[in-house]
Amino acid sequence: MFFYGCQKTPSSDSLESSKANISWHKSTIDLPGVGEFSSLALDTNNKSHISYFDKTNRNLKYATNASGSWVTTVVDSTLNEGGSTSIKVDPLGGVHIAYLSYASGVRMLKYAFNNGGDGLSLLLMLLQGWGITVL
Amino acid sequence: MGDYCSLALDEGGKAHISYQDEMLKDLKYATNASGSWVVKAVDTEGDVGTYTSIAVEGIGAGQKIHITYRDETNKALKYAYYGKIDVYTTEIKHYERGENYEGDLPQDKIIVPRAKTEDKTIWFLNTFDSGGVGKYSSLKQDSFKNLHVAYYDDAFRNLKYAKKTGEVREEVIKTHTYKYKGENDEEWSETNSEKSFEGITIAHQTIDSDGNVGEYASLALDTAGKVHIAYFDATKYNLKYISNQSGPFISSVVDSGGHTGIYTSIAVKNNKVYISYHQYMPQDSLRFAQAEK
Repeated sequence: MFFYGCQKTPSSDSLESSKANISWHKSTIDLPGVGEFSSLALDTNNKSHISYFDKTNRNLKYATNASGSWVTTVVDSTLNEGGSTSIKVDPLGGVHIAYLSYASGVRMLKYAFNNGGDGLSLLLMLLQGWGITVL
Repeated sequence: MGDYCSLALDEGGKAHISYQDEMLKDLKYATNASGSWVVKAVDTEGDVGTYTSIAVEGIGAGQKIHITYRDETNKALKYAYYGKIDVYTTEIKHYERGENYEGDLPQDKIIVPRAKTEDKTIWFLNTFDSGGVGKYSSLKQDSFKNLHVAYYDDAFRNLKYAKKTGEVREEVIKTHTYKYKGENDEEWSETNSEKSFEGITIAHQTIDSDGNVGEYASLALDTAGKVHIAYFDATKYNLKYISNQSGPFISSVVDSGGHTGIYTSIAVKNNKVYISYHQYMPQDSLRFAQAEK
């Protein structure tokens, strides 16, 4: 397991009206060299949780705004290559991520779980790290 | 192993994962619903199991699993279902007169009316759509248990949408043939069973054909069962969004400039739409878009 956390101040774009009369608020959450294989889930407080691949550092990463501002952490730093992430948040705030890992010539399906994704216990989440299972 | 994985949680917080076994080119399913991880090969026919998407319905013995995925061999969108199905049986009885039999037959043909005879739990495989489709499938189930799927038509480079209604059931027609050679002397009987799976209807349509659109499709449903899809416009390198919330499907551009809108993932809640996506240029980054409908 490996993790760290960092506060992000996302760069925010102006609102853009489309022909469907929808105003989108867009922002950059993390960079550079990140964001492939992103997967998004909402928790019971409508806060966002995103898993994604960091191709520069070969990490699985996780971003959330559960605490009010975006925080990114490394979930798994043992990937030579990765992809195909899929994230869900359970009603108790536990964060579950299934993802592909390619390390040492072996392709694996892995599963990461952290039970502290509800914002209030975000610090706990960072402290306790992720439980990772190889399937 | 583990390409194209998709994760769903059931009401008990247990995980259900669909994925392709990259070495065997099989669709596989893994779950820890029983307390420990169990892996099942669901479809092993040809090169299958890419672009999986999974939904879980219920919990315990009545739990149902729905998976959409790409059949690379036949370039089709396939569907795998696990759960209990009803079995209905219709019986037909034929009576035939043997060579030396001159007596009465019970009746030339008796049909025992169709009735539910059992239920059983199975894996059921079906093709939803074919002809060069099925990449980037994204599946959700609405409150009426209908399935909604967004996917890419790589033959015509369009975004497609399919809706599955109804529940699969097994229909069995049992035909019994009895032959008589002497009075009340049954010479032989034979039973043939024909089985078919029925009950589901698939309606699919192209919902955006403006250029090469539909890769990286991600679908979400709102509480009214309306469809919201984020996807990539590979002609203009934009992130697009389409919804039938107000009636017909209406598309719009969410983010443009550079090369943006791949690896999309969408969620909808309380009339708000959220999309995460990757921007390749000008900034190689993770992006997030939010809108209130």
